[in-house]
Amino acid sequence: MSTDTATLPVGRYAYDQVDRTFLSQRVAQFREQVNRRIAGDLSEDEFKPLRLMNGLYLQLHAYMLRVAVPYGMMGSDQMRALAHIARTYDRDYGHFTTRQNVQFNWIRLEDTPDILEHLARVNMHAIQTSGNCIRNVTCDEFAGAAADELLDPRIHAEILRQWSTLHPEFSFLPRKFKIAISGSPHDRVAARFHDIGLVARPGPQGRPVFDVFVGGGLGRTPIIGVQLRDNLPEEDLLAYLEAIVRVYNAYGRRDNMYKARIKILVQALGVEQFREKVDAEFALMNRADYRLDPAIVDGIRARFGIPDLVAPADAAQNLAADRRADPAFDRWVRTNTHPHRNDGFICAVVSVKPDGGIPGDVTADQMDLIADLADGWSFGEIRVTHMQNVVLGHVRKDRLRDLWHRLVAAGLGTPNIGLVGDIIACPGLDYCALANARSIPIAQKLSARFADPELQERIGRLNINISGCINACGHHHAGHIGILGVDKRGEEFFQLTLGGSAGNDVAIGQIIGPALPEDETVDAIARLIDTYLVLRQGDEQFIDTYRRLGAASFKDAVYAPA
Amino acid sequence: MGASLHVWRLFVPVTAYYACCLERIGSQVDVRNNRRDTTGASVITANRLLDGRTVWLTQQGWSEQIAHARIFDNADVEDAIKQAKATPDARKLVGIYGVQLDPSAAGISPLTMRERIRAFGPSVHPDFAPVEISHVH
Repeated sequence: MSTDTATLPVGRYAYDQVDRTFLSQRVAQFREQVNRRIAGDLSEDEFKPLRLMNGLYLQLHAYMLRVAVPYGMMGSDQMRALAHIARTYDRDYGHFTTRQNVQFNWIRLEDTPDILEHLARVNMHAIQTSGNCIRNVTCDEFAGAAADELLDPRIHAEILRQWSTLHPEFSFLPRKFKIAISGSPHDRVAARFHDIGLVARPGPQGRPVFDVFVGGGLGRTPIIGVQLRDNLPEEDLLAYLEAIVRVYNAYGRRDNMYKARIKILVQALGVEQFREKVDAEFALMNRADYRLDPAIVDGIRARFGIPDLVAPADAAQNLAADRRADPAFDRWVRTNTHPHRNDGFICAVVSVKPDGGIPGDVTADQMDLIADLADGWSFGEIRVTHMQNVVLGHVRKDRLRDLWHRLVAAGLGTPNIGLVGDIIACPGLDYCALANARSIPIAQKLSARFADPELQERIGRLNINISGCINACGHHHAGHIGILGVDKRGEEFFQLTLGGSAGNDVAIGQIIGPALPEDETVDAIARLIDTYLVLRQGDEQFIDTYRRLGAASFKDAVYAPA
Repeated sequence: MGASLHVWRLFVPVTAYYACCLERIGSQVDVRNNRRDTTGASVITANRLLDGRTVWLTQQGWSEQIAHARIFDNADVEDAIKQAKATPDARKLVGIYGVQLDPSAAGISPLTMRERIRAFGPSVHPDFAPVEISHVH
């Protein structure tokens, strides 16, 4: 163990000198590649895979750099580095993505090596945020804090990160590959919508076991993943995942990119045949080489900082009194917090979705403020959520109101988590070279239309997801109301789906009817929500009413003449 | 650091596998954005290599303002694209292709929403609309 473990970062893995040397070499390597491209020694066709493997896309207006946030965890120093990049190299803002990463939309190629060097100084990079490789492993945003958690999944997320980073067999898969891991019985990671979804819990002798789901995904062909294995012992985690990805690598289609994801392979073979192939591969492997020994796991765990969760005995009572004293604060606590495993603490969700704002966009000043608040209230730890928000995971209950005041003053205190204003939206046609339609304006109009917090609470839990194309970065199939942008002869139309869910009640949203013109979409959704408010029974949530009544009850409202 | 699982440590530097990626590269230009009618007019566009900004072919070179773009009959634009790709300037650009114009627009405006956004900037940030900074030359 190196000597630099004195100040371990809370909630994430502490790099050592070997990690830092690697990143430094990688930056130097990319700097040389960029220089060769600018000098004309590399063509764009030769350079493109090199830049993509470093997270650099060419979008509609500029280069976009996608920075990895492993399992969504970062420290205040890293957030400040992102603020610096936003301020110095971009247009003063960044964008949190649905894979818990951060994107910058206005990057210059010639600046990119300097940006990566700056990231490396705070142990960040953009490796494998693009390309046909294993992407950033996503994780429960309340990991290590949630009251309902059985096992902190971040240790194994880090193990998977190290296993998958520059894995020599898996750097040229048929298509990209996404893994999510949760340690809670309540699925907050959309485990069954991933190429591999892992749900961990304590097993015999307290060692973790994993339920393994495979072949889920959204995109052009939305499919709910199937359970391939239950109670997978921790010691076999890497071997079993390696067997799965080997089978995919061997049999996945490379002739048609639209049929290249593992979900298509699982469907084509059938789950039983796929499982047979994985088991055969697993049986052939030298398991000793892959054995995840408890000492290895404990070694990784030892490089995670642990928060010192000490709170006054009356912290919870103080919070209760604060809530009684201030209805606006009480509303925010209802919507924007999550129970913590320690009764003196609570998880605070910072909404990055102000009324009428752009989902996931954060200014450089806001990034700096979030970093300051993390230092002051949550042990310097910050989590990016797949809902495009930010979590401060360990806030003392008696200090929550002070935090809320600071957030409100900075425009980060919108009480809308899980409500109609908490819209997931991809960058869409305003930025993305793949998009067919704009996602953000629809999100802004809906958010503004339903800005009233009382109305949002009355409507209740309602997930609206917007994707600007069939690639489904906005996870529209998983939304209670999904909105998909389509192109009809160069103009934008929007197709609605209803009934999707990414949680334990996982479901794929169903198309309700023909796509709507852009200028009719928001009104149609408003009518749909009005219809739900009329039809709901008691405390029913939107998804419950939809499941009870089906699509027909809503279709007339959507397609009513204006 | 006895607990290391770092595969990357075993494979640095890592460049060899990139070679096999090359065969996967598609054209920079999306076919759907290079469609045009047999009649009508088009302009020629690209992204600038150094900063990725959208630029338009003019009589003098390349401009960030579509208003300065040279207009071609659709019958002639394919030849013009070939010529543009053959010039030394092409080394400083990525993805040269043609964009059909909207004949009913008041000024020079692309027919598709995608190209209008490329031309005039993200609709959600009017403050980010393109401004003339420099030519490729």
